[in-house]
Amino acid sequence: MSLLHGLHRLVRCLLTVLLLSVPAHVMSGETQISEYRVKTAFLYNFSRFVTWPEATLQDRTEFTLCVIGTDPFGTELDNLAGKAVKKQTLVIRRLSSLTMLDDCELVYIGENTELIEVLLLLSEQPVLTVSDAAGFIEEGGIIQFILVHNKVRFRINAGAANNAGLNISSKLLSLAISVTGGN
Amino acid sequence: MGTGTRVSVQNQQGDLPGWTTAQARAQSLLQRLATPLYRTSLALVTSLLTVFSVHATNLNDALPDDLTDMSLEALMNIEVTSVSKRPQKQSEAAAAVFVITNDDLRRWGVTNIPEALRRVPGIDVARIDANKWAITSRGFNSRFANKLLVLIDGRSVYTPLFAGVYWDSQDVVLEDVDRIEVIRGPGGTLWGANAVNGVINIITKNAADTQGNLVSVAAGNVVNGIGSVRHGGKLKNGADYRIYAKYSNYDEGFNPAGAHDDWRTGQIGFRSDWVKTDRDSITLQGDYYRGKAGQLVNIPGGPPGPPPTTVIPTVNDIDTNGGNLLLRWSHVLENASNFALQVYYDHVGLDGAVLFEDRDTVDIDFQHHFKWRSAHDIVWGVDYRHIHDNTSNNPAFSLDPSSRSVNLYSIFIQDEVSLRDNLQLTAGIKLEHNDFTSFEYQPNVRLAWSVDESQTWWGSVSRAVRTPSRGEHDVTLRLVPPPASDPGIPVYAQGNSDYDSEDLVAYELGYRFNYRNLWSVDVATFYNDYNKLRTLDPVPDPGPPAAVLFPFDNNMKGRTYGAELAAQWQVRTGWRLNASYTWLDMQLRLVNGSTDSASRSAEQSSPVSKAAIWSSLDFGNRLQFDAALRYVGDIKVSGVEIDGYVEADLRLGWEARPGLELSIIGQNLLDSRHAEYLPDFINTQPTEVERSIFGRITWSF
Repeated sequence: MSLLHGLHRLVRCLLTVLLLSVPAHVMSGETQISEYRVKTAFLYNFSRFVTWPEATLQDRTEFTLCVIGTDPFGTELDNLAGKAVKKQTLVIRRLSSLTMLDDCELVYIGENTELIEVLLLLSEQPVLTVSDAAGFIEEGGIIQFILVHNKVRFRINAGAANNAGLNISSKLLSLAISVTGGN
Repeated sequence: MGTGTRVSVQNQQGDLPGWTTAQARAQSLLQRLATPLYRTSLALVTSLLTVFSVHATNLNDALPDDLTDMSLEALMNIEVTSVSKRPQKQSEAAAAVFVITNDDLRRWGVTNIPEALRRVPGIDVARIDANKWAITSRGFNSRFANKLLVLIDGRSVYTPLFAGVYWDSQDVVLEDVDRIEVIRGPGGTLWGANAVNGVINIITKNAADTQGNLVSVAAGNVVNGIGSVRHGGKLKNGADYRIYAKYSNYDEGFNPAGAHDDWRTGQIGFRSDWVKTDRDSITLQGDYYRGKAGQLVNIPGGPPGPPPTTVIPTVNDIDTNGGNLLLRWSHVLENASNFALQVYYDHVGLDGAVLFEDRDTVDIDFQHHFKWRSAHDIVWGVDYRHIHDNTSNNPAFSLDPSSRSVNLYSIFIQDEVSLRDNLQLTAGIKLEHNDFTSFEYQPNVRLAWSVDESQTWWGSVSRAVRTPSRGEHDVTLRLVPPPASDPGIPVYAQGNSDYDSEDLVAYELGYRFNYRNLWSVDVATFYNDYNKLRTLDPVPDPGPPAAVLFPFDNNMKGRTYGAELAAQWQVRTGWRLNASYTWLDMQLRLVNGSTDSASRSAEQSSPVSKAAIWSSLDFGNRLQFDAALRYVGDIKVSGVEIDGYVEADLRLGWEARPGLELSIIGQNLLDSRHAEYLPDFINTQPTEVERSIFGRITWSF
């Protein structure tokens, strides 16, 4: 029992001290990060860990990141605008039709668009295709996001990247949950 | 009984893109409730639903404003709130839900599941002795409370013997629990029979989230010792796994006449989650436990004689053992549709001075979810369950036949349709066949209306049944009558093969308000109309030997009214206040000329009101202080009054080093001890809950 009383007193002392010191520093890192805020950072990283063919970027000053279909990023993506990707400046374009697709270096394919049509149009073009769509890799897309228990992971279709003339860094490949096609 | 995989099946796939979800609308609602939302295009609608959800989880401490500054590896470790790509539908909120997060479990300083449920509105938790609890939702409490369905990772854990739960056998490593979802009100359409007044889903973490090692130990004056060890790793094929072992040992409670209710249980288990392709994920998990739960049980016996009936006090250890193995495969189809197949085997063994059972269950569950004409979200499923039991008869407790196999088949379909942008209608029905009462149907209709960005009204009408338990059908249980009414001859509760299902039609109305996740209020009200509730009508049996039989019958009707409130206020970053309040009024009446003098006492076995208020405060990133006050009103158990009580819980937690947490926890601090409940049916010695102080060290590495 005396141990119990001792603990009791200890707790009370600690509480008193703590309560007196409350206003001094109440802070905590309560942060809830939205999925697409993190995915935005991933997109930016993809642009840095993928090498486009020399010919594509040579005469361009802008690195164009496009979204086709429904844009799930909200305003997050706009925070990337103006950032440097290698020697280019990143610009964001939200496409309403498929005609502008080949001006993009990176295309995020959202919902409500003809996925297969987009991939057909871009096949063997030096454009990095990224999507959340299930089965994206199998349809010939290059990087597919996948949430594994609330953490953002991705799969890579190295074969499709090869065909597009894109070189994906070994680091990115090593972090992928799976790599299909290619060597 | 019933399927019971709705929630967890979905949970497994809920994180995958393309799983635009829905088997259980409730489930996906819950996921959202459990995880606060952010500013996305969907957040407006979704935030209507995140009512009690501003949980100060510190998983993502100290992130830079610009995430592009972070390394890929670091980005991969951020936990995100996953927002369904399907616009959040208000109808998903058309139920009364409360979610206990992993963080809550830690900060509330609880050591087991019953303790975790104490603060939940609408849930009544009362300890009978150190290893027995009476836990119910919305009234009718008892050690053998039978209107609540409890699932661990989609596996039903109530015993069909009496349709209640052996709470001392339901152990989990609390650090590995993702969340506990508590849904009050009928869930029969999705979960099946027995989900009459509520469903509790205990959902453990995906193995991907329990990588690395964990050692947790706790000890104090009531908690003799609790130790958990877990190791998580990755297999060659990329599957994540964890293995764990846990041992708990609790001291006896207080009773001046002796307690003998100290108890211990040890458990080992594993879980493996394998994302095989982006369309397929597979979970395999299993547990095995053994336990010994002490009791002092008054066994009726001896020759008939003058009152009172002879009672033999016996010190007895209930030996428990059990194990389970569960396999779940989830597959994403085209067009945002998906299916899940789950199979599990479960064994429960229990050997006490009165109760004895040895039971094997196999359950196969299939569900398919798809969209139809864009406005409809449809989920349907089939379930088959086979239960085989063996019991050992003794003079106080016997089942006829002593061994029985029962089969349960069910099929359900539910459609969720958007009538307008802010109006969601959910309608569904479950058809179930059981061996005792043949076909049962359980429909529900739910409507949710989002008034504006911060307010939602919802309402529902549903029917649920509680099918007869094995005991109600087959038991002969010798009772120990209270001395005042002791006829001096043996008294038996007796199974009745004509015993019918109890049924309920429930009307619910709820309102939620959430202001920017800073503060929120959730009110749920209900009116429940019960029919064919269980009664025990005395029938003299002239013998020889003479006896009084109390066959189970369905001669009671009931109406219950209630209101439940959950509120939260994020005072500032790092300080949150919560409150919960429960009000319940029960009115039971006998019909068909019943002369049952006891069953109506259930009116008073749950408190009219119950409340809790708690504070979660952070001092910087390393020091946490939690405090709670809990109030439970007066009750009467079988006519015996038990005073209400107010108790306080405190916790001080210090993260000494990253991954190493030391905490000191006090439970029930205001009194040296207090009584909470009394036994029923089986006359065990009740004990009082004592003030508990313990230290805990949790080390992740």
